[in-house]
Formats: sequence, structure tokens, C-alpha cells
Amino acid sequence: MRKRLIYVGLATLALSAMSASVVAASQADIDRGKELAFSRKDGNCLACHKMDDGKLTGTIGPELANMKTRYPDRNVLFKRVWDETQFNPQTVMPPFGRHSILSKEEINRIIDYLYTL
Amino acid sequence: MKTILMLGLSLSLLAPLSAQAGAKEDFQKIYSEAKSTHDEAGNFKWTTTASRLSAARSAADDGKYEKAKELAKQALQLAKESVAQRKNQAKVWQNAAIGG
Amino acid sequence: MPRAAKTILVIIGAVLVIPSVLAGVNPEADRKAAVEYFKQMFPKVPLKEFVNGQYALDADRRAQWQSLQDFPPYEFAVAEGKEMFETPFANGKTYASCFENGGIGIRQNYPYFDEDKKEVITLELAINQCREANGEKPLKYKKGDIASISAYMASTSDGKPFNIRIPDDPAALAAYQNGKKFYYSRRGQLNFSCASCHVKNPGKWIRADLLSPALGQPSNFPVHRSKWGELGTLHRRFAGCNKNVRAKPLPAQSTEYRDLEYFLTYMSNGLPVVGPSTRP
Repeated sequence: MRKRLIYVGLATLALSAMSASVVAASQADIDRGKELAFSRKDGNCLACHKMDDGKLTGTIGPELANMKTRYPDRNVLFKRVWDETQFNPQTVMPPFGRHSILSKEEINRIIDYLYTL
Repeated sequence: MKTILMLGLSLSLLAPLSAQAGAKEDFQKIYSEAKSTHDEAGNFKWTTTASRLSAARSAADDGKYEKAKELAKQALQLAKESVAQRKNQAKVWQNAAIGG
Repeated sequence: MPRAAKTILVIIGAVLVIPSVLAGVNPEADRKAAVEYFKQMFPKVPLKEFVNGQYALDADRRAQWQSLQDFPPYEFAVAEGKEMFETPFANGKTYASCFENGGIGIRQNYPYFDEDKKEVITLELAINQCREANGEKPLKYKKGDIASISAYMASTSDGKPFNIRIPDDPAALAAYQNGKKFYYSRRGQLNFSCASCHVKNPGKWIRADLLSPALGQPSNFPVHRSKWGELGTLHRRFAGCNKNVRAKPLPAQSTEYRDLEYFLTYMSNGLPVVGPSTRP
């Protein structure tokens, strides 16, 4: 029984991961992602990262460019936005997902947008 | 077919009423847990938790219990994260300190 | 009993008296390590310059700032502060009666640890204690009259090196350590500590703001910020920083903020008082 549950769980995980990467982001998704990334009360990515056509960008984090090359695995990028402290305990990047600053859906839209950079 | 439709329709009409009755109690339970968890955060309280709590309170005062319940749930989630932060920082803050 | 064994027992006894959390707490070693850390981070910046925060780190910002110094926006507040400082209370006494050297040229000794009360006394707290001892109502702590009086008192200490003392008292050491813990603990939904910006990232830009180093940080207070359009106290700034990271600020002059000021000012020992000053 338990084993079966685990299989079902794994299958669901695999499916959701696939749906995230296989389904191409629409222009609306990308636009929404940019809006969330630039907005001060949401992602506020520009506070620390130079990116795209953002003005008055900060210099704390690296420039966000060539994202597909740097993060071929979407799940890795998702996890780093979700909680960068898991990768680098001394980072100053807020754990956007773990601290409910952004929802899962919002992080996915931001990632749709990041992959256009 | 018709009966099923009718049944579905009456159920959907009834649902909000019963949900509203349970929502008040649900809200009160979740709200008080959120508030005590928020207090447990001590000097690590978050402003976002505080504003969700007061939004939940005022939604409840307006009789909007479903909305109030939802906001209280969010407040509880944030409060739990702030308590986790407090506990975690008590252990790791010195890792970042000059002089240890 | 052999002498060596006795000595060991005495040492063990002494160690037991000190709470275990304070074992290894060494403020002077911390301060020296901090000076070394920032010297290495900014090898071209003379030590005393750190009191100018971001202006020590960026030539353009410094030039803009210096052009404002002919008519500093806090001048009027300092004059008002002087007048209030010299005006007698209803009982005929003045602020001067409460302070060493009549309150002139003493800013660099604050905050200090009061060994009788077992707590950190900041300059603003002492100002209000003076008022209350003379039958006057206390002032609000973040801005207004208290900032003006504190600014005047700081101006009489211009250039004097900070000289914060930590007496040989476990309670004083505990207050220092409590402040240090506050400075380095991440807070708020955004998960920033004071150190996230001011130890790890000084000299970097967060949007259009240039981050200042921890060293010298309290030296320019009270400060006139263009954002405020007026003078504000150090604790007002603490509260603002906390809010920026979505942490619920603590009350001005709460034990936590006073301990934080104690730690932070101790780190700046030897650096000159330059308050009041201006910041964006």
C-alpha cells in the first residue's frame, strides 16, 4: 500500500515537472512574469540584479542573462528562486517560495520570463 | 438527466449557506492559532503577518467569514515561517558574524 | 592541596559563574576583526572616513554631498536644540545638571552600561530621564525635539573619538552580545540581517541606494535624511531598516535596540563623532 502511494506520488511529481517544462509559456505568461519580476512589492529582482531593460538596477546579485544556458534544468532554477539559502547559506537573496513572498504560480511565471533573457 | 441537474443546482445553492456557518468557527480557530503563533515569533515578527491578521479581523467584522478564514490561513502560514526563522537564527547567526 | 590544583579550582569556579553563552565573548577582538575586515574590503579608504558611510565609498556621491555642506539642512534644528538645551525646566534646572561636564562634549561616551540598573543608557534615554527627574514629560524618541537636542549635543563632540566601555560585568557583556546577535540575525519575510547589507555588501547598490559599511555607522546620528525631510534618531533608522525587510520594528529605546546601539557603537570605538549629518 505504502509503496503504491509512493509510486503515485512520484508519478504526480514527474507529471507536474513535465507539464512545467513541456508546455511552452505563452506571451501572456512571459509578460506577467516580467511584471512580477520588476514590481517592487513582488519579485523586486532589480533591487539586486541587472536584467533586461530594467533601470536603476542593484549590483548585489549577478546579471540575469543567458538563463537557458546557465540553467538548462528548470527545476534547479525554480528551487533557487524558491530558497537560495539551501544552495548558499550566506546569500542575501530572499527565499521567495519558502517565505511565501511569491506563490508557486508566480515563481513559474517569473521563470517563464527569465528564460527569455 | 433533469433530476441530476436539479440536484446539482439545489446543492450548489445550499453549499454557500452551510459553508458560511462553518466558516465563522473555522475562522475563529485558525485566527487564534495564527495570533498565538505570531506572538511566539517574539522579536522576529513579520509585518506581513500582522497586516494579514488585521485584514482577517476586519473581514470577519464585516461578516465575510470565507474571506476572513482565507486571510487567517495566510497569516498562520507566515507566522509559522517567522517562528522557524527565529529558531533557526538562534542556531546559525554566529556563522555570519565577524569574530564569530 | 598543591598550589596548581587550587589555581585550577579557582579558574573553574570563575568559569562557572559566567553564563555559558558568554564564554568566548570578546568585544575588543570583534572590533579589531571588524576593522581588519573593512580595511581589506576597502583598502583605499582611510579608517576615519568610514564614519561618512556611502560617501567614503563613492566619489560621485561624495561630491554631491559635499556641495550641500555649505548650508546643511539640519542647521536650524541644531540651533533649536541648543536653545532647548539651555532653557531651564519649570524647576529652574537645565539639562546641564544631569550630565557630566554639563552635557558638553560627551556624545562619544554614549551609549554606556549602567552597572546599577544593569542596562544600556543611550543619549536619548538619558535626555528623557533628565526631563523626568526634573518633573518634565518625556519626549517622543524618533524625531522632533529629542533629535534636535541630541544633534546639538553631538555637535559639541564634533571630531571626538567614540569611547564606549564595556565594564567587567557579565550583564554588560550579555548586553553587548545581545546587540551583536540582533545585528547578525536574519529577520522579516525578506530574511535580511543588518549584516546582510552592511557587512556582506557595503559599497554595492541596492536599487538606487548605496550600502554603507557597519563600521562608523552610528557616528553620524542624529541624521537628516532627504527621505524624511528632517532629523531622525538612530532608533528611527533601526525601525526603518526593520520595516524594509518586512520585520515588525521594535519600539525606539527598547532593550533590543539599546543593546544593538551598544554593540554597533562599540564597533566604532576610536572613530570620530560626526553627527548630525545628512543622508539621502
